[in-house]
Amino acid sequence: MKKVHEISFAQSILDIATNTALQNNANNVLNIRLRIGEYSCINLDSLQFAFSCISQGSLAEGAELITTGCLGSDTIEVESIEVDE
Amino acid sequence: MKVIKVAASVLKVNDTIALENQAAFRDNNVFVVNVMGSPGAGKTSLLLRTIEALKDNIRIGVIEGDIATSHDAELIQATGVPVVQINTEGACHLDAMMIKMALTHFNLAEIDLLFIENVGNLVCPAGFRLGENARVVVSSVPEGDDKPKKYPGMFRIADGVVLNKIDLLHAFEFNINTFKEDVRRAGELPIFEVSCKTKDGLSVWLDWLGVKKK
Ligand SMILES: Nc1nc2c(ncn2[C@@H]2O[C@H](COP(=O)(O)OP(=O)(O)OP(=O)(O)O)[C@@H](O)[C@H]2O)c(=O)[nH]1
Ligand SMILES: [Mg+2]
Repeated sequence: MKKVHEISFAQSILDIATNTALQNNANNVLNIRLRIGEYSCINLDSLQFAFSCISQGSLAEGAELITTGCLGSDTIEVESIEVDE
Repeated sequence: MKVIKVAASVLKVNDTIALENQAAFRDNNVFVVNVMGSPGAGKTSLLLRTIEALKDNIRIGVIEGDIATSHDAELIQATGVPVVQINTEGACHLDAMMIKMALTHFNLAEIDLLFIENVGNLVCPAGFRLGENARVVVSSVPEGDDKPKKYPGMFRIADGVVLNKIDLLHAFEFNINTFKEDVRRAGELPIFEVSCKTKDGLSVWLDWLGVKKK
């Protein structure tokens, strides 16, 4: 019953990024800054890979995930996105 | 190019599923305890002792999380209570989806108290809610008295701490006050000092379970 939970996180990040871009009339997301809690048990390579797969054909295709660690937390937060106008 | 501030927390799909599990437990009046702790701390031993003490009065069920084997599930099965094995195949914790799938093998209407033995690990299981009512960390004397200091995340999210293997206190440099102080730093948690070998202290743990369940 193996489950790669990074895919569901990647989907959620993609939704947040593309919705934010649309609300700001942008049509290309260049990068996404994330804060990742030390207890979130996220494998960054898996997350990056999952994201690159599911973002194909979306506004965020090819966007880079820039992550900073965050001590003592289990949350994942989208801090900001950079877009092309 | 323009940077847009978002500051949105990523919805953990896990939390949504955990809420669904929680609703299923509530609808069926099942009290659910998520048992976490290091490999070998005594999670299975605690469940076996608890089942032995309670099974004539309460209908118990167990979900066993294990990376690959069904060793613990077989021990539980021998007691006669229903048990479902989840093999995480490498994943270091159980998540809510695994529990949701395991629940399809139970008749929740026939269970009052469900134990979930998580994968032996003091870090990752803390980040994944399962829909449980109570979370318990089992720590043990041979692991050393510094575990609450080194793994505060696990103790912070716990509702109770079982300090197991107190029959071995004489054999280890284990300062029980240091252990307790560091647990208190994580929260006002009850600490049950028990030995699953000699059965010392188990009645306090069983009483707490009974009160929590009400
Ligand atoms: N001396 C002593 N040994 C104990 C006690 N409780 C458990 N053990 C022993 O510790 C070992 C591990 O116990 P388990 O109950 O399998 O531990 P666990 O936390 O379920 O381990 P995993 O499922 O592998 O993470 C076994 O050999 C038990 O017999 C105790 O109170 N005193
Ligand atoms: Mg076990």
